[in-house]
Formats: sequence, C-alpha cells, structure tokens
Amino acid sequence: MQKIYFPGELIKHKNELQSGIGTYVKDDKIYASMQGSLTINEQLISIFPSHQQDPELKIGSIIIGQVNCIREDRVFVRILKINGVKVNNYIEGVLRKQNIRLHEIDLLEMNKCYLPGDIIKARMISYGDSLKLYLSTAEDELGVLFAKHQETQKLMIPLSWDEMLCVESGLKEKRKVAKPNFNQLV
Amino acid sequence: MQSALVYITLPGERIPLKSLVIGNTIKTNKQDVNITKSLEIETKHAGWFWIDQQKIAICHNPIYYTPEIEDYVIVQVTGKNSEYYFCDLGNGLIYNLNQMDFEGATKKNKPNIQIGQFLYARVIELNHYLKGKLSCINPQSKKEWTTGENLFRELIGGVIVDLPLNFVQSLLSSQTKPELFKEISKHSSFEVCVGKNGRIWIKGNDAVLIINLLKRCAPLQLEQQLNLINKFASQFQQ
Repeated sequence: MQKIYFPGELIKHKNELQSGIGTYVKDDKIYASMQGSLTINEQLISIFPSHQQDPELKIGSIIIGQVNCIREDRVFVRILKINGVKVNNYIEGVLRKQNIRLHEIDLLEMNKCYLPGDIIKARMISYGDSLKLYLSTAEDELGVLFAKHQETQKLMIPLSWDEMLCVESGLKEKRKVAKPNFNQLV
Repeated sequence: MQSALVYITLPGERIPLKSLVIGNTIKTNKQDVNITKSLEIETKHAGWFWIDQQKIAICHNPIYYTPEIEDYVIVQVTGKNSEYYFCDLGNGLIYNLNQMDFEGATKKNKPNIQIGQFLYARVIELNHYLKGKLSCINPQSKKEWTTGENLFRELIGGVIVDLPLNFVQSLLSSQTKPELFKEISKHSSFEVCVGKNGRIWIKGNDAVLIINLLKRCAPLQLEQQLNLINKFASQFQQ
C-alpha cells in the first residue's frame, strides 16, 4: 500500500527537485496541497488526487440545482449538476430578484415563483463577489423542472409558463416553469 | 361569512378529498386537519367542520391564534430595520410593518415608534416561508396620522392583558356593541381596544379594576357577568 499524503504534510527536502501538481514549495521544502498518493518522474514530484475533482465551471454553463431557502429578494440554490456532470462537493449559488424573469420585475412575488425543495434549471452568469456564484433564469427554457405540491406532497408536472399540475389530485400551483424539450418526445 | 357544511367531527375521521374540492386550489389549516398519502382528509379535533372557498378548518376552542387576512390585532414592536418594523403577534410569529404604511406619511414626515411600543394594526398578507405583512392604513377614512384620531395607531398609556381566545373573539363577533362594556360604562368612563389575537387594552382611572373583572368574567355566562359587575358598583372611582 502506498502512503497517502494529506494537505500540509512534508514530503522531502528540496535538493534539485521540482514540484509538480498538488505540491508547493516553502523554505526549501516540498509540502503536499492535495490528498493523494505520491509519484516521482524524472526529478518531478507530484501528487495524484485520490478523490474525483469537480467539473469545470465556465460562464454560461447550464446548472441543475435544488432550492435551499428563499428570502424576499434572493433565492439560495444548492448545485447538483454542471453541464450534465454530477458534482461531488457542496457548492451554492444565488439567484437574485432581477434575474428571475425579464418582464415586470417590480411586481414579482417570491411565493409564486420558487419555493424550498424545487428542482430548477439555471445558467451561471458570473463568479460573484463573495462565496457564492450568481445565477439567472431569465429565459423560456430555464426555471422549475419538478416540484412538490404544498398540501398533498405529491409530484407536479408543468402545465404552462406559470402553472404546475399535481398528478394524482388535479390541483394547481403557481411557479416559474421551464419549457420542456419537445424534440425528445418525437 | 358564507354558509358551510353543518357537520360535527370527532378526531380521526377520514373524508375523501375529491368530494370536497370546489376549484383548483385548496388551503387547509395544518393544526386542525391532515392530508394522508391516499388523498383523504383526516381530522385532529372535535368540533364543527368548516369548508369555504378559502380554507378547510375545524371550529373549536384553540389555544394558539392562527392569523387570517383582514384581522385587527394588537402587536408589540421588537425590532427595527431601515425599512420595516418587526412586530410580535403573541404566538411566536413575527410580521413586517412598512415604516411608510401610515396615512399621509412621507420620508420626512413619518411616525417614530420605539422598540417595546404596542400598536393596533391590520393583517394584509400571509406567508408560510417568509414573514407576513401588516398595515396601519384604514381604507374607510382618510384621517392622517398626525391627528391622533386614526383607527390604527400607537397605544399610549393604559394597561394590556392576555385573555382566553374564545372570550375575546365572541366580543368581536357580535353585531351590536357588546353588553358587557355597556354595563361597565354606566359606572365609569374608559377607553378600550380589542385585538383578535387575545389582547385587550384599557385606559382610564379604573383600568386595573376593569381588567380584574374581565379575567373573572371569561368562563361565565352573560347574566352571571352582569351580576358580577353590579356587585362591584361601589368600588368604581368615577
């Protein structure tokens, strides 16, 4: 079994060796910066990571997430998939009131757009200023994919741009709904 | 109020949902009624079953107050923002009151309310995940807040007491003025304000005596209440 190095652990004294991926140099010594096992190639020390890395985030990528909590002017979203690839860690994004839709931003009511527990499809627009990314759903094909009815706790499917229908009981609720992809059905 | 089904329930009865739903949306009072996985309504209390276009509930004597739109309540201010006052309704609920929501208020001319003050306000909006909204604007009269004559205002001076909910709501629901206050007004003069969340405010020289009488009157019938007040007729100062 090879030894597993943890971040901050000392590997070797730097004697004409170079530091590769997953290591850093401080005071003529080489330390590890990722969790993983050691590989030495032709005077190059690098660490092979032992857990999967997150998929790459670019501006404009499509994100599927779950709504965590809502405020009067913001929605906090937990990110589950980036461009179709599953995310292993906990990443959060923020959806602001002016990015939810294009028309009538002043008369928006958060009750009729998103509620905690919904699964939404959004697009990333900027890396943001503090620990959270900025998202946007201001297009026809972005919005709520699946949701639960508040009273009966059953699954709802989209009915129009504004409403969702509970499958078993026939009751309706208001959300900002994503346009489904009709090409796949044919 | 519109008419409802006249039906008395016991706890644990099941009614299928399809026979009750009128339109596209329902709203149930979660303290009275459950909805099971097989889409039936299961009752939790014994009382009169109430169904309306707005909600499904059971009329019994609750301990905690559940708010509805267009209720007049007495609230206490617990915090302040740059835009809102945070008001406490008395059962763990905190609602927002916009600082400009007084009649004739502008940015430079609005009332300055301290923390701990009591107000009389009206419920506008309810929300499960966010805070609800209150307002101090009376739609039926146009008196500005600078005169002290508008209906929804700060309550200055006086004494406030918490009473059982069924007693207070029966005082509010009678069409004519209640006879209890008429009887007290024969002996002394006072000012009263009744909130639907179970709070009463009284101002006057005999305020403490009136409050003790009201506490004793709560479980009694109407004739016994009038007899009790007449016994203490000599104790009033005015």
